[in-house]
Amino acid sequence: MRDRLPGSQLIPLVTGAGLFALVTRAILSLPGESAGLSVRVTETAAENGISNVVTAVLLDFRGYDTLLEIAVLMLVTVAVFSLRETTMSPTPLSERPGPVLGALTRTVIPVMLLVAGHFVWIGSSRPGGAFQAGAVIGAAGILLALSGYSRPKWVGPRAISWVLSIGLLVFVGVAVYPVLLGEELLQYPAESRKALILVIEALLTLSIGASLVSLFIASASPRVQGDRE
Amino acid sequence: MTLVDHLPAALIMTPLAGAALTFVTRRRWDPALVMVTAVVITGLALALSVRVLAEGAFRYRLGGWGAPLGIDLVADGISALFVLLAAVVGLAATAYATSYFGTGDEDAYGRGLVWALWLFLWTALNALFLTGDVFNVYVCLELVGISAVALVTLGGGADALRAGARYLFASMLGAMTYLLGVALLYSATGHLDMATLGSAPTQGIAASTGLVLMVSALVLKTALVPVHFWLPTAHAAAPSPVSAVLSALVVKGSYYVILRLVLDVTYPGQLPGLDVTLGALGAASIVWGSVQALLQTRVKLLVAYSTVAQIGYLFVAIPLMRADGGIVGVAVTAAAAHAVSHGLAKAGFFLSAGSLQHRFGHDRISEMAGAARTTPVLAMACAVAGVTMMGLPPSGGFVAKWLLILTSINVGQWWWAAVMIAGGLLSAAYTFRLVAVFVAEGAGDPGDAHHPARTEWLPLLLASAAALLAFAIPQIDTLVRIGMNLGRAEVLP
Amino acid sequence: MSSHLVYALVGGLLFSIGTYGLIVRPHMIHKIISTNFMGSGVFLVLIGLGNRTPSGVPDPVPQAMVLTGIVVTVALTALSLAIAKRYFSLTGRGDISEHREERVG
Repeated sequence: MRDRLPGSQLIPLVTGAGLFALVTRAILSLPGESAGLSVRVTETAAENGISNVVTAVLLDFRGYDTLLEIAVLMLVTVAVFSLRETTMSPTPLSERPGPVLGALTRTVIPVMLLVAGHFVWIGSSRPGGAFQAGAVIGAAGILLALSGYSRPKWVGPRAISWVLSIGLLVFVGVAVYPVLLGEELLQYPAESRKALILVIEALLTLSIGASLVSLFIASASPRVQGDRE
Repeated sequence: MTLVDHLPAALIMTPLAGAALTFVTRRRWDPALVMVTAVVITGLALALSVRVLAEGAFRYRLGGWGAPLGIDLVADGISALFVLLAAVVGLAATAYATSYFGTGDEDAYGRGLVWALWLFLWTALNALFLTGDVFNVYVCLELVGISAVALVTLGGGADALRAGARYLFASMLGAMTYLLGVALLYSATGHLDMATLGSAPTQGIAASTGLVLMVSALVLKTALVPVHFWLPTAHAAAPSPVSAVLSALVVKGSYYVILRLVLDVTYPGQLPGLDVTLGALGAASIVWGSVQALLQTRVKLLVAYSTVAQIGYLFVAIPLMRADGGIVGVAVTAAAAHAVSHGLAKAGFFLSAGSLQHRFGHDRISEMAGAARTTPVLAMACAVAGVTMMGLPPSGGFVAKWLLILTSINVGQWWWAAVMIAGGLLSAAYTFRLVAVFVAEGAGDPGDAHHPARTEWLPLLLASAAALLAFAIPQIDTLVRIGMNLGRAEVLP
Repeated sequence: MSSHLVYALVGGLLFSIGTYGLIVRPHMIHKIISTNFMGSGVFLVLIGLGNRTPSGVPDPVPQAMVLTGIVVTVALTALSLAIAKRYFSLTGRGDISEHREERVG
């Protein structure tokens, strides 16, 4: 694979260099101190009992962004599924693990799950939250897949679809619930705010973790006859 | 609050819930469920337009917070109009798609996953048209881009995959650049809400750089010359109902954000040269796109290049919108009317191209002689769509272009008018070329398989709607002006 | 006060390198890596510039933007990898340069 001719690299080079110059100039022109929205966020978040301001922004003030972002993740999972050549079968990616790998996974996986649960629980006051926990669960699932464990027979495609969607569906449900009470979308009632956010985060964690694992497995499975040409 | 107050939220939550449910259930009745959802969304969109016409623009504060802390949905004339366009085209394309995707083996179209992708795209479009927050725009743009790419690759063959891959990379380039622009803009101003940004001064090098990056990214996503390279292959390789939605709606999405930035966030003269640059690139698109369309040998590529050309008109309108230091209402109305009429006409054109391809088994123009005899409805649809796109009276396209030409002469920038007239002539050339083949002596299509009637009538309906739009221009003008900050009011001739 | 500037400037550099790579490199895997460069660059800019608060506590809004951006970038990477893999299994090639297809304007 040869690289392109030097001439046709000139425009991208100029573009890249120009971008760098423009952006550097912009960055250097900014004042050294600027509060942005942080002051207002911190004050309002403190009133609501969520001391981790990032979680407050993600799930409360700008929860709509997070809702759409979960939609993005689910959309990509659906898209990757649609690109698969065959339906997902429970064949494992490799052989059953040997003694060392087996012992390792048996020790590490439960700890990972515990860490994920901790992240979800602690997310309202310390760094943590649904995405961090979901990433850990995703890693655990991928580790299992790579170690040769396969999906249990009783977990069918329908169940997988439910687990993948439950985060989004519950989020939409919680979002619409205030509308039935006469408030705006996503306007959690003050008394149940913390509880609702926790429920949303827990189920999001499940869906995010499942999505990450599914994205990996859907792309990694061995090819069966697939040519549609 | 009554139900009507929640319309913006409903317009987004309905297709989203539908998408999730369709993914989970995936049964035989999916097409029916999607049809019902489409009808519901169209009703909601109509209700929104009626509400905005009657009671003016309004903001929906998500989470009850309100800007600048929270995210607002903005329902004014322009957003209501675009949501309505998406609803009408979406409804027609869904009706067409239930026949297109339902035939043959389910396996060829993502194992029934197409409907989830379809509804995700609709969610994304509605969310994009209704949002009032620049970072939320980024998330919506990604949502639109991903669902569009996924629908393009549904065909499954290497061509569709390659076209989809190039579309995806162009989309990612645009999205990252846009996000960098937002990063600079927020760091300079401390705000993400469009209305707040519009009223607070957005001056300074960082803010201007951010805005330029954002506009450049959106220009890439709207396929303006010279960064239009990804569009023709993507729109041509996609399944026909998808192509219709891509050309009619998806490209309008990023244009809508440019409109917002130009009209609401920046003030005239803030970024000198921006308006003229966009106009010049628009002029180049009109000429280049039309010439390329004339040279194509396959129908779908011809229609795709026509999209590149027609998008150019929307950008020529931009310097006209802010001539004389204020906002020229007529130019905005003309651009909006052009977007709507092109959306309807292009959707009709692509759907009829798809039906022709189904009947002939190929889409080579030269071998479609006699189509006017065997499939008169489809040939008529192509002709009517072409009429509106070349700007023949009496059609919606004609009124829109006429308004733009008038405005350009009125504000003393007559050179845009010259380009637009040239563009009209070129569009006439490629339309006539196509129709001439249809009308010529020939065998027509084999006519063996059974084709549902709606694959013929829907394209004609859409194209006719585009033509009849001419009579609705005053209503469009009224709608578009609601919520606009007009520095200088213009009265429609 | 200039430590945050270093992050932001490096972010700009990464973004520019990524842009160059995305445009120039014909192979899809290179393009995917380039987009990740771009993404990381933007995130660094956001975090770096968000650290300028007078109170010393970083601004949470850019952090939330970065978190959202990371999820979106991961999703995009997954999709592009899936497309690349499928394309490779169909055609045996990984580059999508223009030389290979019909010359379209």
